[in-house]
Amino acid sequence: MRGIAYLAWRHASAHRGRTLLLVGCIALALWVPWTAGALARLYDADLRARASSTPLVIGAPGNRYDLTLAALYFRPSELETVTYAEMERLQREGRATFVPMHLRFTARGAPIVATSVEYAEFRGLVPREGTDPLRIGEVTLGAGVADALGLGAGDRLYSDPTELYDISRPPALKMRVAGVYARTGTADDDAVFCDVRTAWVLEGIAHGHQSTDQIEDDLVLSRTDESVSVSGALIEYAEVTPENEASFHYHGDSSILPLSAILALPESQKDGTILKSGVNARRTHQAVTPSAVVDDLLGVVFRIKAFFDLVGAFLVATTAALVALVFLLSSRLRAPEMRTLDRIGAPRRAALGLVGLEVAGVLILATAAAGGATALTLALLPDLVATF
Amino acid sequence: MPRPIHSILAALAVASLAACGGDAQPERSARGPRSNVVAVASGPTQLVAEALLGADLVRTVAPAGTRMADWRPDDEAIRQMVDARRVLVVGGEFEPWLQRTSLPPSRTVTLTDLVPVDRKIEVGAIEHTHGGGESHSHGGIVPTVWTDPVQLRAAIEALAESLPASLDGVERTNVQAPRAALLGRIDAYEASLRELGATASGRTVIATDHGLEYVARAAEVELEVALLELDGGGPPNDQGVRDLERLAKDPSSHAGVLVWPGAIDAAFAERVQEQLGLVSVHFDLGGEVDGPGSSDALERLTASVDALREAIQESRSR
Repeated sequence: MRGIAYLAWRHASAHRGRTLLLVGCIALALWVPWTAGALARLYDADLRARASSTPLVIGAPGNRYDLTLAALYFRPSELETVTYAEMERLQREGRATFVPMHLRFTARGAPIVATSVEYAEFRGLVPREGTDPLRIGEVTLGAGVADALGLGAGDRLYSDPTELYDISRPPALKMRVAGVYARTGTADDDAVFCDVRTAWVLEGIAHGHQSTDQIEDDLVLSRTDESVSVSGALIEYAEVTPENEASFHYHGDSSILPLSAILALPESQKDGTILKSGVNARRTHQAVTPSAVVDDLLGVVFRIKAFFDLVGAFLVATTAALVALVFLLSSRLRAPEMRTLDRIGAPRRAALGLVGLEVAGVLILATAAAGGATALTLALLPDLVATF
Repeated sequence: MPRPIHSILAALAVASLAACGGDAQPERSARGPRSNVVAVASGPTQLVAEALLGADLVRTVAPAGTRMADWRPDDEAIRQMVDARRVLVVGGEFEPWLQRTSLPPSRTVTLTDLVPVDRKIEVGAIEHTHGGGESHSHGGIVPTVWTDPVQLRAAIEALAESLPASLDGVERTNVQAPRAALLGRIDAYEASLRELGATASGRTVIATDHGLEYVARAAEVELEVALLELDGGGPPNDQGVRDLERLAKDPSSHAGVLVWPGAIDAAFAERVQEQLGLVSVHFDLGGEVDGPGSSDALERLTASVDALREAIQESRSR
């Protein structure tokens, strides 16, 4: 390194604290809008990709944002339920493949997505270990849940009790881990999958217990030829095992078994349009196109983002003005230094070059630092879209 | 009740923090193609599927002779059903394992859904409650719909329309000849039922199970059921025994036989013959899958109708 560049380097080194402060301030001013922009683009792309890959979601009338976000990201909500019979009725129309979804329960904090094997097929979930859930009481874990909990095929996982102090509610169900899905980088990684029938066990709609003719007499309140009334003290099975599996049965009308949402995968766009208009015309349920709902949602989000972009621009402009001020004041302090340069015969533009090189150096370092910090942020930030 | 604003605020919070990530959506076809077969586990579904499509396109997942009421499919059997293009089941209470098994609903075809609703027979069952829970029962539609020629024809017509579309290399025209042949066999079965009705000639047939309801209706035979519930190997249902005694009281009103759609309890059958004069007759409803070289469900069903007719003839000639 020679000449002006050497002098600029030596000056920056001699005032290390000031130089680092300048680099830090500029890097910070750049990092905020860059990171926000990059993350917003990723967020936008990811949200739209998952939404656009899901043709239709059918659910109870109500908040379409909640319905869509629950079906796509298993976000907890107080959605009204639709019946399994409604799904069967739609299935008979033959316009689409319908995937049931029941989303009311969690296991160790992870959402339990009670569905059917069509969901895994649709989302491309492939077991990296074990199998899909093949029977009630079995779960297959998303890769994130399996890694976080250290569970694998053959282990057991308890569902989270919904009403801790309500003994009339079904107890936590001890579920067998049938397998683990390979990582997909989506919300599916952080969910626990089971058959929809398992959710009905968790709801208490289906349960298993001893046969009524094997129950001890003190648990039978009354017994006639036509009716057996059993005490609430009868303990229902809290785990489905090969031995007690046959005793699990549904209560009440099986046509009202509840679902949180139904994914509809139409054979063609025409089928999708007819299906959607038919469901919405009946007004008893709603069919929404997730991509349209997400577009609406992001439309609002990105109008707000424009404001934050403006704030970022002001931040950059303010920092630039402050940096300019620092260099201006610094050049005044360096007037004797410049006069010395002039006296020893340096060209007139040498002073300008010296300051310019120093400014350029600071800017390059700050840009590099901001770029590195942005990359690091993108790499280290948890996948918040998946937990949206 | 959640409001949209909650969702929007949540989205705004996330977006304003710009905290997000995630990879691209995975390919939808990561699992590869499914096997070009229809999976069946019971006699009637095996009968219809094999008759229409041929045995090569049918995957029978239950061992021959397995009673659906007792079957617990192992993991391999479930995987084979999930892997098939279609899973053909009878439905209702006929296959209790369906309530506990994860089959794909979009690919599961239920025979009882294909038959006219007004042809189904519904029976009551013992109602019970658990503590403060709602009272309920496990009765309902008699699931042996395939034993009714009208319903079996309806199911065959529906399947002949829909099954070919789900399989590669099968056209609707391919199944027309097998369909006609199967319908011809049902005509023969129906003729046997008419002969049974003529033989019973107004006398009541007593059975140990409701499985015979459609056979009786098609044969125009009056059926009375004494639910003995002897399948578990325990003592008979007291109410069923009382019903049986009441029904057998007047020898001029019944056909002199006790029909067992399930396995005959030899000791009980002997007592019934000695004390009530009823001859036990086994009636194979064709519910179980047949093994290689054995008769299919319709052959067994027709043979059972003929055997019952002969037993009634013999009983009446005594």
